[in-house]
Amino acid sequence: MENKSVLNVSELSIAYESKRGDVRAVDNVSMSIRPHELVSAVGESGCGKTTLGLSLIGLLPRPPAKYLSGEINFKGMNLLSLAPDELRLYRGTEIAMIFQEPMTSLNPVFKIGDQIQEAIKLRSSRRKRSETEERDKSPLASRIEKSDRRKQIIDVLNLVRIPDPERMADRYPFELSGGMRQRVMIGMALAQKPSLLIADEPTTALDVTTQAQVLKLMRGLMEEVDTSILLITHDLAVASQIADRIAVMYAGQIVEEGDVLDLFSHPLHPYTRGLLACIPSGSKEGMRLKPIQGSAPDLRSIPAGCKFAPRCPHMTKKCEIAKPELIVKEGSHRVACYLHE
Amino acid sequence: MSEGLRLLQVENLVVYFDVGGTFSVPLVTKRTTYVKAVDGVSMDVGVGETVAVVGESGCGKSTLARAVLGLVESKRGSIRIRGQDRAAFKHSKDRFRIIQMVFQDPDSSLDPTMKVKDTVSEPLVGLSSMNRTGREKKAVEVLNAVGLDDEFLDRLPRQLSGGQKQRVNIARAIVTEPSLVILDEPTSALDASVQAQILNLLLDLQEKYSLSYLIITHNISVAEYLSDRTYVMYAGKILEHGPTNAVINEPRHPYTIALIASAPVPDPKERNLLKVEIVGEVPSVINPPPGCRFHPRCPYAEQKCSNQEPILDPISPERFAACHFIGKTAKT
Amino acid sequence: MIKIRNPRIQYIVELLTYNNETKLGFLLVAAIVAAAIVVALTGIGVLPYDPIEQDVGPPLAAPSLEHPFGTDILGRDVFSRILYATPNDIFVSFVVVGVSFLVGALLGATAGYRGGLLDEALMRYTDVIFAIPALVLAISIAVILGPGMTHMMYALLIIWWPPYARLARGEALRVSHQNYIEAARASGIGSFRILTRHVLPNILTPMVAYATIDIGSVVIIYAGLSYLGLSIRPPWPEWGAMVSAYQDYLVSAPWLPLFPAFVIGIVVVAFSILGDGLRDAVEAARIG
Repeated sequence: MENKSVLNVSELSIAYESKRGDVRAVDNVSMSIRPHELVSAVGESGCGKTTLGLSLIGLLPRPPAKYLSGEINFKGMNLLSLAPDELRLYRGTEIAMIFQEPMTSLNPVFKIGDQIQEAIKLRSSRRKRSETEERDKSPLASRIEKSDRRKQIIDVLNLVRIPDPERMADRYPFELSGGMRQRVMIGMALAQKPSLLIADEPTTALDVTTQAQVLKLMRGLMEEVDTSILLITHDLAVASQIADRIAVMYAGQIVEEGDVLDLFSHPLHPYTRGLLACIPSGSKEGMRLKPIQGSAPDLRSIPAGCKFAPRCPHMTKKCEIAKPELIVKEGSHRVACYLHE
Repeated sequence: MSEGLRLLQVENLVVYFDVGGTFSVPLVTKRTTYVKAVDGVSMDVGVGETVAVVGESGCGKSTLARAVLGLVESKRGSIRIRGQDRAAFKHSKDRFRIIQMVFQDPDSSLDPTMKVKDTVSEPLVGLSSMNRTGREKKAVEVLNAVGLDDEFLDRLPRQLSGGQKQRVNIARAIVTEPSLVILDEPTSALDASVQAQILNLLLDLQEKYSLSYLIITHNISVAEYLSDRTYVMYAGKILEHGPTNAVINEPRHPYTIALIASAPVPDPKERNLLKVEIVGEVPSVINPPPGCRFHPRCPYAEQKCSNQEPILDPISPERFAACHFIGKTAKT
Repeated sequence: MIKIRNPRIQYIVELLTYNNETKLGFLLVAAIVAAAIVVALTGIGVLPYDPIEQDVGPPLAAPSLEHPFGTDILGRDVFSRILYATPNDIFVSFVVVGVSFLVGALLGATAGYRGGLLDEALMRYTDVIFAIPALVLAISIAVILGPGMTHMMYALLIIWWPPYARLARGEALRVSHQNYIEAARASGIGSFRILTRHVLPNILTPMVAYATIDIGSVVIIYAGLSYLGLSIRPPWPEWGAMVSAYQDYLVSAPWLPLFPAFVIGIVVVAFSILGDGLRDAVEAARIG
């Protein structure tokens, strides 16, 4: 089973050093992503999902971050055991990432086409370094290369359904809307056919209708480009619309994980249930929202028991003593809660 | 319906912004460009009602809110409060006492150098003649009403969480006991669980203080949860309005249909998002499309739509939509 | 972690203890300012020797236990002279920076918040001042006014405030677009009170970081002007003037020009370290 997955994270723990004590941002997280699968890591701010995403692509600044334990196995290779140079070969080629703010992800002084081209060049030169290939340096070859590259740029723009790609390639980022820019980012990320695309809140800054377009595009491209996606979001509704599997995170841990249909029809963990009950649907006359009591825990102190216990309506003595393990219930549905043992 | 009953009555409001550049630029170029942020909007809010204005970025809803509040001057049109024209309020102070606003983004809505109690009592400084003791007492009262006890009085915003900041925001808005509170994206910057707490708080406060709400939001589910009636705004115009339940569950205008369909529903069995067929982008408000502003993106558009702008017609006793081909969108 | 009741003082303490730079800078600056205040208040009494008394030691004596910085050609103790001159440079730089800060903050904040004619006028006027090399302007004014410490100060004051005005204007522009300004307007607060209560306090911190480094700049310029002889007040010592007076002894009695130069350098570096650290601290506070 493990050989088949694209990504296999095993007991990963990451902490940030700070003046007021270490912050345990990711706490013993294990998860896997299979080929052509869209997995969504869902949680509120501070749950560790962004740290997890950054760690997978090796973009965590260390210091202040430090890896305490665990492995990140990408297609069988433990990324944590690689030197920075070796890891860089993966970044952008095998594993790509897009971020929340399309406004700041693109360089404002270069045309769109040039930036896409730069991404393609960088990645193919990295690929070529790992496969030894001789390049034909004749002038004819470089002219062919140039028109080849232009075609590649247009291909990328077409891939992400940007209208009028010939004209768009010569535009600057400020001439494009947020939705367009995000599509360009997706195009740049997918241009080299990575096996894993990590998307960190890719549509949070976009309008509702634009968000729908971009999410639909991402889902559709998975088959076309032969990739898997890890979607990091705080929005359970968004995750429910395009994910195959969902991992619910709280205070650095995965508290529940499973097939999206399973999770929504039978949410097991009290936090998941609480989150679902928070989503307003229908009018106030119907049912009042039931917010989760209390507030998110301080990640500096690591309590002995379950981190959600202080806010849990089903808390028992047992919950305060020891942390519940993530156990399997029916198929691939996992939950970390004593209620279900 | 007699005019006196409507707490707020906005008629054909037009708000244009001059974006021609600073002082010296127009002198040289002799040209002025306008952003037609609000271009002929009529709406109203009744006593005790909650009305939502729903739309995406650039549609003009925030500008509409600011014009109603009085922070922005309108070019044309009227704003009446309990039948009285705004201009009749000699001092803006009276108007600000009756209408207040909870501003978007709790982080930039609070002065980082001001303590909570000072922020909350500031409206009383400008709009009432209370002395310091009176103001502080009132501030404590509203802070308690929003769920913050006395330990928060002397805190600075940097010592508060997102939800707490938003509560302070709300406290400031109700300290003068206004009749109408405008809420500009009240929960957009908050986590899901905090959002739920704030939404419930708003409902409690509405009961306690007999408030009317005007909610500006892009979040359909928040609009549905809180409001009695909903206006749908696009590129400076109202395209559809009516009872919230009807507008959101049986949208008729093509834009509303696309908007509702795009809103993610937490139901993996109903993947409406993947079925949405919306094309194009939100239009420029400097040069909006001629005729119906939505026509370049509308699946039902015909020649007429680019020539003639549709007006808001009733499609049932309380529902209005601005579309030439509204018949095509009815669900059979 | 020091916890203090008053959140504003807590904030200042946090800024000052942000990193090693701020801590070290603060200690050095505190020591220098303390020395200046002590000397200014107690005068000659606290010094080992009278700074203008001649022949307290053999002339041109090398540094020793009695005369840590040696003696000059008239047998005066260099250490006492340097110490005695401390309040001059410190006083001038604090006054110049302080007044420039105030004037610049008020003008810039009003221009940034109100915009319009005032803003345009300020921008063009400061453009003109920037176009002229500062030192040349200062020297010209100093020459016109005549020598002396107060005249130096006036000359510097005229050219020193524009950067503060620009900085304040930029910050005020940023602050003016924050929602809390609109909220204040909706609270019936008038423009004047918005400027003083909301805009000014929020533009201060970045300006203070800049001002701290700037004190070092004034020290250098003032030392330079007194080196050029524009601030002569013989026989009273002045750091820059001492460097100029002793520069001929660079080979024969190097301690004479080097110690005053070194002290000038230390003072500038101290303020620069503190200011630099504060700049980082303020940025971090803004993000975090």
